[in-house]
Amino acid sequence: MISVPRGGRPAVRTAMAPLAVVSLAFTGAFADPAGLHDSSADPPSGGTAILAHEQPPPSLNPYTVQGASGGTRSVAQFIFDGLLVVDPSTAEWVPELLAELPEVTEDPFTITYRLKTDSLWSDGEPITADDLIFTYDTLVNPDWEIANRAGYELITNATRVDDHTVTFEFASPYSEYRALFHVLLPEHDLADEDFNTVYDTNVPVSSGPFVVAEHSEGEQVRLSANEHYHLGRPLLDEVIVRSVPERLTAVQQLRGGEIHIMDPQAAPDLMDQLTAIPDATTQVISSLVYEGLFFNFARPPLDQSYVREAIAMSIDREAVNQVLVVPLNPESTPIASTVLAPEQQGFQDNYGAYHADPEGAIALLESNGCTRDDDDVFVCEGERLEFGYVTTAGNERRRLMFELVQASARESGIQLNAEVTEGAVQFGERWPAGDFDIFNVGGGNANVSGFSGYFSCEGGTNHTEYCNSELDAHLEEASNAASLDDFVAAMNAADQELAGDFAFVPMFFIHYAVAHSNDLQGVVVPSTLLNPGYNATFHYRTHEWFLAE
Amino acid sequence: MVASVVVFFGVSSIGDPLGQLRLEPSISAEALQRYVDRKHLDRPLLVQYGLWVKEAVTNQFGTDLLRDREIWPDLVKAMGRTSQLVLPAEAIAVLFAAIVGVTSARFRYSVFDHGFTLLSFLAYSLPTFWLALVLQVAVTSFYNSSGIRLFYTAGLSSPNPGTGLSFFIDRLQHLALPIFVLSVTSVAVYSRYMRSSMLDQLGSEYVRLARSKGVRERRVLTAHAFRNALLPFVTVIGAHLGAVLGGTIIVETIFDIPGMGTYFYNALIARDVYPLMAWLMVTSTLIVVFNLVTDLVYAVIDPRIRYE
Repeated sequence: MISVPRGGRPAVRTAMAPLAVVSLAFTGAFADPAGLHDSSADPPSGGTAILAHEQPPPSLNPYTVQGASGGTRSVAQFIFDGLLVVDPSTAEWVPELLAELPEVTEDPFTITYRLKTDSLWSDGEPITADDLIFTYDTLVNPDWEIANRAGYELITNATRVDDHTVTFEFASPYSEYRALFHVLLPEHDLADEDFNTVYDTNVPVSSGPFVVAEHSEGEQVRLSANEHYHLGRPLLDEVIVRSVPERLTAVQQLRGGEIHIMDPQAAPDLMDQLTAIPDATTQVISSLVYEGLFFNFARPPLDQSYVREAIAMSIDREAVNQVLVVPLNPESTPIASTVLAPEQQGFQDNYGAYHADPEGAIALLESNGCTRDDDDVFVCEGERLEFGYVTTAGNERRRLMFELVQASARESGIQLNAEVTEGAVQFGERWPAGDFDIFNVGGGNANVSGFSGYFSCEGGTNHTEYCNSELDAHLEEASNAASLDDFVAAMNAADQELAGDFAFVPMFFIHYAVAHSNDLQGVVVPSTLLNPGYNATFHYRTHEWFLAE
Repeated sequence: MVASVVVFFGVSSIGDPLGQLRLEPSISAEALQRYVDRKHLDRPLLVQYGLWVKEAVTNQFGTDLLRDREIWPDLVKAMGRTSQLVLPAEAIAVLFAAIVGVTSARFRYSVFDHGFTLLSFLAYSLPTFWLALVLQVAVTSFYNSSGIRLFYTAGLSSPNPGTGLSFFIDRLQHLALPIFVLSVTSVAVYSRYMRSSMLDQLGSEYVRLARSKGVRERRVLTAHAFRNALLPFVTVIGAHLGAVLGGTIIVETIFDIPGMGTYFYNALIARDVYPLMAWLMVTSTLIVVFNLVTDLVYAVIDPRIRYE
């Protein structure tokens, strides 16, 4: 994590909490940015904190929103609590609305949730087992346009044990059960409502530290303190989530005290500006969302493993990392595992063969009978090693990455030609149609659904014709894993299969930034965003945020 | 109508509006199919266009693609916010340009004339986004050094703007920079036309006659030359409205004003043809209406012009 208090250059902070055995779906790594959590102090209460986010929330419903959901998350994390949350001090899931960790049985696979008995909704009504069952019923109701029912569809039976206890029985084990029910829904408020639209602009009753007071669509959402919050009334009176699409504007607003906190995607030039702001702290969050180069197996000679391996060996990922990522995070290295961060237990280097080795690439091609033509480009089995490289128009980071990749590949006698494509065409037409040789796209293998989407034989977003039944089996094992150890082992095995097949080249992990005025204290920023869900970002315990006097 | 065809087919042919969604493993096939069904995306473009026309005519442009939200209420809100920006900006630009144009013409080749000619060309060639960002930096630096909040850098209002005069001042502090940026280019354009038009009038025979009859110079300028010079000036203002509305896309995005420009920008980024079409229809109508108003203003300015 990089922490830059008071306008200095980035200084590496290494205060990473020791991590327990975790998978990326199960945990996050956090650190207190500047020792701001001083429990001995009596923080002042009152005031309004303003958060600038790039996108306005298209809806306030975290279960139905699709596409640009970042705006929704930026609000939802203030107003909804889930059953479990990642605790920064231990980096483990801990109960939030639950009285204790859920009880899990393996055969049959059941989960028993025991809710706190004293939690209230923002209108003062008690949070009960009926609300949990209602949430489940809502999420599996085909009338409602739920974006993702993964996990919920496996539930075969929901049993109300008592007023605050529910047992769910699953058709098969579901290893990512901790991420279920990240938002609880109030039955007494929603029972007769149209769930597709009820939370479009307002959430009258919620369980989180803040409640929606006013929503000026496209402009801002004003949140006021939830007087009935189960962890105590928030110190702040209000939080305003404002949409500021232009990052440079948000920087000036932070500099001029018009906002207190912003969370843009990190970029070197932006970081320079943020770190130059006095009286502000800027932190970079690494993630497990990668930039990758995907090979189309349907396009010879990319169907040949040695060709893909040669390309992987020709690419200088270290140079790309140095240019694009190190300015953000001096500790970053080229991706060694797409499923675990280096600080996580169970991490292993699955991509050791992907280090830059132009001579090795040449030797590999020559050993497979490839010869060079007049332009010094290799020809293998009658196919010239000249490939189209589809990348996104207007994306500076991807443009730079292409230039570096192209230059290093050329040293090994491989010619890459940029096919710069407008995003809608790139992702809407060329990717689904398999109309590419090499495709630059971001993705995440951190959880089973993300991994299998791109790489399973039947993956919904697999358009490379890559198929490895062993990889699929490992992902199936991961999905059904009953223990964390089993999950990590299965995900690692799947990642090793992927690496061994040279199905794609993972380049680097994307980084995000959180910059906040030093007036706003109590903000805890994770050093690594391992689970890009609702429970693992800097919105942790926002009821403890306060404005310094 | 022609514009609607061009835009609908143009935007629709750029790419799949669900392209980004299709990349997200968390979006189920069932959810994607709902979008396809809702807007008949599996039908030929011509059919889709026909269905859009029906929605536009019978249902106030219908709903957008991704959120299924009604377009018209959002558009009305956006228009209200943009009018707070465009109307003052144009009023200031017209007033200032008239003064500068008349004065430059009256004192042709003077230091004033040369100075404003230089400034006009400078203002016309300044990239709007650059000017906006520089102003934001300057205003923030002033605040940080003096502690005095003259203007805000973005948004429409403060968290607690108050009511009455307090609200008005707060809104003014927020809109001052975008209004200034939007009016700069207009002043540059209008003032050049005003100067040129005034020079034509000041060189005409009726002005020479008035002067030879001993009419006071101020009266020659205001009652005779200026009034006649207004005709081409008004024409330019009417014709420039499209450019002003285009300028709001940049200005509103940078200054975080959720008006028509931001509405257009967001729809374009989302590749959502339905709000884009509604935006186009509304702005086209506004330009037509404004041109009609311009024609009516002719009759007011010049009594010789009458419409039967």
